[in-house]
Order: sequence, then C-alpha cells, then structure tokens
Amino acid sequence: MSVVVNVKDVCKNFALGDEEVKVLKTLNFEINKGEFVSLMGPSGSGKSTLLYLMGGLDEPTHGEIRVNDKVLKQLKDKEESIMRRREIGFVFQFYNLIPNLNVEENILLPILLDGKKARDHQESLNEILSLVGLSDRRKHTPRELSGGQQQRVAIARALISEPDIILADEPTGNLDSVTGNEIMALFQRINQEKNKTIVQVTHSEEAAKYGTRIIRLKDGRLV
Amino acid sequence: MASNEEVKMGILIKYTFLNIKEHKFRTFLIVLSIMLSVGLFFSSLSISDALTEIIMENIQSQIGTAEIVISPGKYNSSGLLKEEPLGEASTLIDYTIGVVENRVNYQNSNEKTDQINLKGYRLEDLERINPVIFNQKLEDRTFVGKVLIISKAYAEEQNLAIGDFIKLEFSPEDYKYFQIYALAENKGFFKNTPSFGQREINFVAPRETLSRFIGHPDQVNTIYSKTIDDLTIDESIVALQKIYEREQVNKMVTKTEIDAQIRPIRIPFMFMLILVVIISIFIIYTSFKVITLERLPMLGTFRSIGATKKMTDFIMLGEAIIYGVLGSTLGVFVGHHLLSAVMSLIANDMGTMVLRYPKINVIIAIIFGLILSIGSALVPIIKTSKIPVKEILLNIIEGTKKKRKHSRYIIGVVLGGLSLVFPMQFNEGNIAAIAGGLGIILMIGALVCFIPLLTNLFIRLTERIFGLIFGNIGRIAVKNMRGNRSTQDNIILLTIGLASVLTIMVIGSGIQNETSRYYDEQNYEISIRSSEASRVTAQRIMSIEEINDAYYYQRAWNAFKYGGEEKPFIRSLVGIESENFLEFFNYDILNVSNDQEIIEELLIGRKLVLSTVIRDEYDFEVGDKLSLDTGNGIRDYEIIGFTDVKENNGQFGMTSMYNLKNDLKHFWGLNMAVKIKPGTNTVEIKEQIEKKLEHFNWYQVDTIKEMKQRNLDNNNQMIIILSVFSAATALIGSIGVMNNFLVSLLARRKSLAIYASIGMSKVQRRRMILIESISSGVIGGLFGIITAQLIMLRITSLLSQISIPLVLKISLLAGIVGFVGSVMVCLLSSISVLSQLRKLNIIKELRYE
Repeated sequence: MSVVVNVKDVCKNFALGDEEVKVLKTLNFEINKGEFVSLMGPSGSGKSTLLYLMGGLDEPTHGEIRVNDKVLKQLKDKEESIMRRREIGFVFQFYNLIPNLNVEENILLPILLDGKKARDHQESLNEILSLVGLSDRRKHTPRELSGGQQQRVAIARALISEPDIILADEPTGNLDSVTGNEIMALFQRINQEKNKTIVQVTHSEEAAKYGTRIIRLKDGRLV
Repeated sequence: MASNEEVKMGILIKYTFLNIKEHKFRTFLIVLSIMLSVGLFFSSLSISDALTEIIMENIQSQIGTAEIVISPGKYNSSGLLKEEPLGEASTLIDYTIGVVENRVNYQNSNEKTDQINLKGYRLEDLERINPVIFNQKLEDRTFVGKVLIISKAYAEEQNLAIGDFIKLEFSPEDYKYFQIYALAENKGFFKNTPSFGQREINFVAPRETLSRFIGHPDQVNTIYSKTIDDLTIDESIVALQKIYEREQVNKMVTKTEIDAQIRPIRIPFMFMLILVVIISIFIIYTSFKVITLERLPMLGTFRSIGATKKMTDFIMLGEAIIYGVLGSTLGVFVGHHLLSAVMSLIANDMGTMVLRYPKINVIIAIIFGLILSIGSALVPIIKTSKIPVKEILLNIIEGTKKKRKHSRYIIGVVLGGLSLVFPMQFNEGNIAAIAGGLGIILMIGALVCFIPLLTNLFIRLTERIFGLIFGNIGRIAVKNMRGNRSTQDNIILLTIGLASVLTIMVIGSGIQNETSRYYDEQNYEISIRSSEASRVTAQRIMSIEEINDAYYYQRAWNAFKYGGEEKPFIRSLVGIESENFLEFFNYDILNVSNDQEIIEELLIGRKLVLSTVIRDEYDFEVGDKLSLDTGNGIRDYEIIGFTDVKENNGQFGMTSMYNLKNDLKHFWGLNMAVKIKPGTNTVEIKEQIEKKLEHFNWYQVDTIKEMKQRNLDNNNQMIIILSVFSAATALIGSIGVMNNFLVSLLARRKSLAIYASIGMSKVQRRRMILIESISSGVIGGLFGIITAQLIMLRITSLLSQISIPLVLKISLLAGIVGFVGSVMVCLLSSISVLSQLRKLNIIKELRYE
C-alpha cells in the first residue's frame, strides 16, 4: 500500500497572549491509500489542528507533512490551492456551502476553480448526485436543504474532482444520530467503492466504527 | 450607593461607548453622513432668513424705515405730489415724508461721469426715515440752500472735503454748484451698495432746494410712509389711497417679491438636501443592520443575565443617539460656514454680507440630526428587539425574509404610481414645485425597490459575457452577486449618488447653455434702455458713425389681466413699430412658413404673439380671441402666433407699439437694439452712446457680451454652490459604497475561507473580488445614468409647469465621466477590502458557525 500522508516530527504551537501553547507535540505517523482513519481524542487534544495541517490550511511549527509525496510547507499558495482542488477534498462540521449558489454550482466549484468547463463534467456530476442521493435537488440552494442534505452536498463537492484524500472535520457533529449514521454510511461506501482515503476528526465512537483505523490523541500526542 | 438599575445602565452605557470606539471607520462614516445632512439642512433653513436680511438691509439703505411709497399715478402728467393731511389715517400712519428724488451727473476725479441719486430731504425727516451718522459737518452753515451731504467713502475716493464746492449736471448744460455740508458714515443712504453691477451713489440735499428746482416749492415727486403697526400695512395702503386718489400707493417691498428673489437659490438647496438625506438614511440604515447583527450574541448574553428588553434596546438606541448628537453638533458648525460661504458668493452683488438667522434654527437642525440618526436606525433595532432570547442564544434565528421581496415590489409599484399622480394632481403655482419634487423622490424610491430585480436580471443576461471575458472566476464572481444584499445596497447607493451628481451637472450646464444660446442668437451688439428715450434720442444715437442700424421698441411689464385673474397676464410685453424686427431679434414664430408675415400682421390692429409657455398654460391656439383687461378698459386681442422665446421664464408676448401706448397707456421710454459696423470696437461705441444719454435720469447701455457674461456669472454662483453639494453627495455616496464593501467583507469572510479550502488561490480571490466590484460599478453606473435621465425628464416637465422652460439632457461626456467615476469608486473600495483580507484566518472562519 502506498503512503498518501506522512506526518514526521510535527509540532504546532499557538501564541496566546504572551504565552506559547503547544498543541501538537512531535507527531509521527503515516496514512496509506484506501484507509478510513478516525482521529479521536478529548477536546483540545489537537485533532482538528492536525487535520487542517494535513490539508495545507495551516503550517506546522516544526516537522513536515507530506501528502502524495509533496512537502506541504514547501508549496507556494498556488500549488497548495491546486492540491486542494485536485488531490484533497474537505468536509466540515457546518457544511460550509456557498449560500447563494445552488447544489450543482456548489458541487462544481473545485472544477471551475481549476479552469475547467462545467459541461465537460456533467456526467461525473450526475453520478455524484446520484451517489449522494440529491439528483432531484440539484437546483436548490442550501437554505432549502436539511442539514443532512447540505452535508451530502459538501461530500459531493469534495468528490467532484476525484481527489485521493477526503479530510472531514466532525462531519456528523451538527446532525442527529440517524442522519449522522447515513452520512457515515456514505463515507464508508465512498471509501470501499472508490478506494478514497478518508481522514475524519470525530468525538463519536459510533462514527469511528465506520472507519478502518483510529488514531487517538491526548494533549497533542499520540496514544 | 448606586442601585442595581444604575449599575446595569452604567454597564450598558460603557458597552455602547466601547462598541463605538471599536469601529472607528464606521463611526466616522455615520457621523460624517449626519454632519453633512445637518449642515445642508441648517443652511437651507437659514438661507431664506439670511438672504431676506441682506435684501431688506439693501432696501433699507435706500429707503430706510419706509414701508409704503406713494408715486405719481398714470394720469399725473406733472409727476409731482403734494403732501396731504392724513385725517383719519393718522391712527394708522407713523409718518409720511415727501422727498424729491433726482438723478444727476458728476464729473469725477477720473474725468468720468458718475450717476448720482440726489435725494431732497428735510433733515428732521431724514432722521426719521434713515438716520445719518455724521462724520464731519460745517459748523458755520445750516442745511439750507445748495448744500450736500455725501458719504465719507466717496469723499475720500474723490478727494473731497467739507466746504468744497462741486458741480452737478441736472440736464445737458444745466449745472448747479453745491457746497459739501457734511460727510456721513457709510451707513443707510450712504452705504454705497452696488445694483445691477453699478454703484449706487447717494447725495442728500435740502428738500426745499430741489423742490425749487422742479418749479414747485411745496411739491415733491415721492412720498414715503410708515405705519404705526406693520400688521396694518394693507389697511394703511387703503387709507392712503383714499387720500391720494389719483396716485399710486404701494408696499415698498412685498414678501412675494423677496420670496421670488430667494426662490431660485432656496429650491436647489432643498433638492440637494433631499438627496443627501436619502443617501444618509441609507448609510445609517445599512450600518445599523450590520451593527445589530454584530451585537446579537452580546445582546443575547445580556438578556440571559437579566438585562431587560428596554435595556438592550437602549444599547442600540444609545449608539444612534450618540451618533446623532455628534453629527448634529458638527453639522451645525459646518452649516454655519457653508451658509457663510454661500452668502459671500451671493452678497458680492449686493454689497455687504450679513449673516443673521434665528437661533432657533440651530435647535431645529440638531433635532433634525437626531431624528435622522434614530429614525434610520430604528427599523433594524426594532427587528432585532423582536427576536426571542432563545433564538439568539441558540443561534437559530429564523429568517423573516419569506415573501419580503414581493412586498418590496408592491411598494415599488405604489411609489411609482404616486410619483406620477402627485405632479398631475397638484400642478399649479408653488404647490406644483413641491409636488413635482416629491414626485421625483417617489420615483427614486420606486426605482430603488426594483434595483435588486433589475440587478439579478442584468446578471442573468450578462453571466455568459463575464465567463467569456474573465473565465470561470468571472462566472463565480457574477454568481456571488446574485441576490447579494451588500451588492444590491452598493448599486442603490451608486445609482442615487450618480443620479444626483449628474442631475446637478446637467442642470448647471443646461442653464448656462441656454443663457449662452439666447445671447449668441441675437443679431445686434448693443442694447439700450431708457425711461426718457424718444425717437429723437434714437436719431441722435443713429448719428454715431459706427452704428450700422438700430431698432427701437417698447417694453411693458406686467401687462394685461385675463380671465378675472389677479396676476399679470404677460410679464414682458414687447411693442414693435417696424417690420424689420426679425433682422435684430432671432425669434422663431412656430409653425409658420414665413415669420415676417406674422410680424407685419402684428402691426395691424390688436394682435398678439405669445410665448409657448403662456400658450400651454392656457391651452391657447392661433386664432383665439381674448378679452384683456388693459387697466383702462377691456380690449379684444387676437392671437396670431406663438414663439418659444425663453426670456423672463417664457412669460413673454409681442404686440404693436401702438397698442402699448393706446391701450396700456405705456409711455415708458424706448428700448433700442443697435447693430454696429463690422470691425468697430463695441465698448467704444457703448461709451459714445452713454455720453449721448448722460443727462437722462435713468438709462442702461450694455453690449450683448456684457449681458451674456453678467447672466452667466450670476448663474455661475449658484452652479458653484450646487456643485459643492453634489460633490458632498458624491463623497457621502462613495464612502457609503466603501463602507458597504467592508461590511460585505465581514459577512463574506466565511465564504472566502470556504473558497480557499476548496482550492481558490489568493490570486483567484483577488480577481473575483475585483470583478465583483467592477461589475457593481458598471451596473450602478448604468442605473445611475438611467435614473438621472428619468429625473431630467421629470424636472423638465416640472420646470415648464412653473414657467421655466428649460430642456435638460445628459451629454455623452457627462455620462461617460459618471460611469467611469462609479466604476472607480467600486475599484478603490475593493482595494481597501483586499488589504483587509490579508488578515483572513481561514481556519477560524471554517471551524465556527
């Protein structure tokens, strides 16, 4: 199995007034292609911080993170952005859809940002809409959708450019348990059918059960 | 020890001040809007009073405390009056003072002729009507015989002293020597005020002396009167008219006359005020929309720990009050200086600048500012106040938008309908102006309601074009604008701001162009007016070698009454005598193939050519027969044509000179239009003409160039003032746009972070924001130009209703400049936004709701 994410000696500190808070302390681990990893731990353990470092949205204070063999902190803004369009898909707790764009438009955003034509991706759009069960909602705006439906749109957006990795920050944190399970089942299907590597941050042991591996953090360290 | 309530209120007040301090730019913007609005309001309120003071002071400098003037009537062939006993009228009248007023010439120290108003007064009468402050006086003489009082300023200018003898020319070759008896301080009669571009120089001589000169020791040519109680002026006039049956008894100056002088200045102020207030309301309203949203979490917290609704409402209102107080106080200060600047521009022509206004205006202006601030903030505050605490705390605020957009369009349709109805219903006199102005405001309101719909439509139509030009980022940018409230608010601000600026520019240039065109089209070079000119005078003038040709005519003012109306039928009625009128005056007789035939027909019988303004007012047609009250009986006239002459606001007509004399008994001198030979110096010919008229009591000789320039200069003052206000409007609008962009950034940080998380690079983000801002500028610019053009159409119609015929159009250049300006404002605003974006914390925005 090939390694898609390599975390090496990663530390992350934050300045809080005059003090420096060490959130992550010398982490080392790898994630292989096709794994469904759950990052778990108590509040303040650094799980989400680690997730955002893996997505290139932040930089480690020390150490390096490689994604698909690219050292993230060596990438320029443009290269990082391209990576986020093509190789990484993000899913957030609060869905983070663009409110005045409809379902289709939200999903196609990474494609458009990559300079590609929307009409060339109609087939994959239809397929993804079918996968997430929203074919009949394609023209609706986020305001017209339930929480679960909005999360499905977020997942579809994360999939449209066929990234290797999907990073999910508490994807069921804002959903009821039934809807949450539906979402987790979808993730599982994506992982199994499409062999996508999924890394999720979660508090829920239930949600973690859908994954193939758990990485636990406590006080910024692996346990 | 402070009570709980006091402690809570103290905390809330402290919180209010902290909030204000935290958003300095927004505070500055709101306070600036209020300040400009209050400043403009204050000046508009006070300008009438200030101008009235100047006009009254000028009038009083000429006629002192007199309120009524008695002058020789039409049938008084001698032009002289005798003071009669007052009888019963003495209970109403404080004084009647007879004076002899004359116009004489004095050869000044530069060998030029000064025209002097020589007034004959008894000293004791002078003290009553217009007290003199003597600077120096001859001790060994009394004010009897051929003596004069002149102003100290004039004496210094002409190197004269008390005791000097000066020669005054009463008529050609008729000179009299007077001794300077006293020098007076520059007040009252001796104020030396300019009038019609000329100086008014007053000398005072003993009344008996001047009466002897006119041949009747006991008689005068004018009587001034003052009432005991100025509320009884009308009654007093009636009483005096009974005593002086055959003479004219009139008020010195009526309020209507003063109002008429002030109106051209006051109306533009009011119009600008309305526009500035609309923009200010919009800025304060949009700012408070954001303020209330920001404060929501804190308000929820306060409520959850025991603050009442009243207390939390107080936080919001308190902020509005503080803005109002700050803005109003500064605004009154600004308004005072603005008024001072305006008055100094206007008062150039009126001699002195006296800035006086009722102190209550300051209070009214401050109250206005408070109402503006609180009123604009009230709607967002009330909306926020209604949200249940639970919803605030749980952040589950239900949108109240629902069917709101439909109600907006309904309101728009209603406003649009009212904007058409008001001017149609109220289309006469002063009410027409108010209704017309209101109609314009309602029209702007209607357009504002439809701007979101029109914007979305525009975006839908141009989405493809944006995609083609800017690629996918362009498409995303355009999609972001769809339904975006901040974008809509910006477009509204740009529309109103640009429309205001263009309107002012077009009105200003329209007036100037019309003025220029009128004078440029005339076929003569010099205009002469004189109360005493006759055909003999005309012949004398024609004897000047360089004069090619001249046309003389008469002009009667306020001629005829029609249809039982009190007001004059024709303000300016020209009486012509010979057929070559059109060789001098470029008047187009409408809908006829041969204007000359109409002019020839005008000379026969009782015929009239009227202006199109009068035609439209009464719905006349060619061939209509009118029974006109000439003041000497009813006479029937026939309308034979119409002309679109704009002079005197289109209140113009033409008939034969014979009719003027015969029916209107108009004997008032002659006017002349003079053509000079090519290559001759107009100014030199003018001087030659003036020399021939020197002995007249009153005459005016102007070159066409001088008349044109004077008119342009007069208009220019007002145009400068209007331009200042339009610049202020543009400034407020631009700052409002900038504020909206920044406000929009607050709301969009999350969206921008989402874009970053799915792969938008910083370069792409910058491009997207720039495209959005330029697009807003383009749409706002287009809507602004369209709105301005609609306003022009309305104003043209409104002006014609109040007898000011002026057609207004936006020039291509003005449109382009306005459009580019609109785009530039948005571009600069977006640059300030981009600089703020460097501080964007993507993770913080993504993680928290």
